[in-house]
Amino acid sequence: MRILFILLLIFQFNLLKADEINYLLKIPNLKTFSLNNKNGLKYLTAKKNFKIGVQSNISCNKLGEKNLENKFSLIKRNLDIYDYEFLKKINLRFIVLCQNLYISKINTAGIPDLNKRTLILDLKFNEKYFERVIHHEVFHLIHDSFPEIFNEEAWSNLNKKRF
Amino acid sequence: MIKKIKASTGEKILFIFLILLTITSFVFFYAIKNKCLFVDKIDLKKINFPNKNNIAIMNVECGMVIIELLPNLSPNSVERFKFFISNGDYDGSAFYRVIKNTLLQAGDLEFGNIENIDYFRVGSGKSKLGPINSEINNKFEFNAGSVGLVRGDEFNTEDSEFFILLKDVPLFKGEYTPIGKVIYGLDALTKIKSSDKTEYVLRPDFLSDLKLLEQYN
Repeated sequence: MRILFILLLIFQFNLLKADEINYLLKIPNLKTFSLNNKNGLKYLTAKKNFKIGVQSNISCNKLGEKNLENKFSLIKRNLDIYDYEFLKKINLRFIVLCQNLYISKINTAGIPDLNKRTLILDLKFNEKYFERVIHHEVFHLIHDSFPEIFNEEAWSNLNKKRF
Repeated sequence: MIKKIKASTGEKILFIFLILLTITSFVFFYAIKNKCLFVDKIDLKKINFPNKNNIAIMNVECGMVIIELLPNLSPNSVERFKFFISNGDYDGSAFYRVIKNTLLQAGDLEFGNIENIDYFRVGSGKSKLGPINSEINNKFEFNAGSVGLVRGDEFNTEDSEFFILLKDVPLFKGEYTPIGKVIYGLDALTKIKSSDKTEYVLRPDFLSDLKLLEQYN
């Protein structure tokens, strides 16, 4: 039984460097960037590439400092419009900033996680519509937090039939 | 007649050097082997506790750890914690999850005791009382020595497990229920066994016992 446990440790955790952020969010290789924000949001950045999820199907890369400096004020300005109470209602507390975010090998702008109250944002995804992307991801959290008040059919009908 | 040969100066120096080397080796061997050597011992009689009803005393391999409980911040959680302590439920509990110089976790009553440790399930155990609601305090700073209740991904899932911080973790503010603060003996906790690569410790250290101060009298 102990041998099995040792093997489990080797395979499951060999690549993870344990730290307090991983303890809380189950995302390795992050560092805190900005914690004391009026609306309670806590911003973290990838200090190394990381992989999470079932069979490590979500991956994102370390952020270049320059890219972060350029984008952070933009992100903050957009997320500051949501106040503490609203963010609490939609279960958003942590913003993870990284680049080249992939889920199952598909490049994506952001991944919201209701349980962990986290939104992972790819700072390099679609630079032209980046601000819209932020609110798009926030809307996913609104939707996921209150699925009972959304009429999926009516919502889908807003799209073109071939969509 | 046997002729006495006097040692040369060089030989005398070499002899002294060898003696010093031997002494140093013994001292270092003892110091390295005894991880508790530099941990200060605590004498309960010398401490004047302002609030004796809310003091918990934990004994670990390297000494005593004194925790001041914070019922004003988290009344229900502290009451629950004191209940388990009074019952002796934490005695022999494993520090099975340790982040070196950062955090220690113990208190799995079902699978994390020295009598019944289950390496596959430790951390998933439940007490017989079931979960309680989180008592989050948005002003409490989780500094070194802070004791908090462990929860699952969601709030209101706290039960018997607790963690103790070995360093300041501002990120935890508003995330966990604070139940106490180590006021003496944090050094002893830094000696608890950890692993460099994982949070989970194979053959972990155990706390000997956890009692309320009133149980000592």
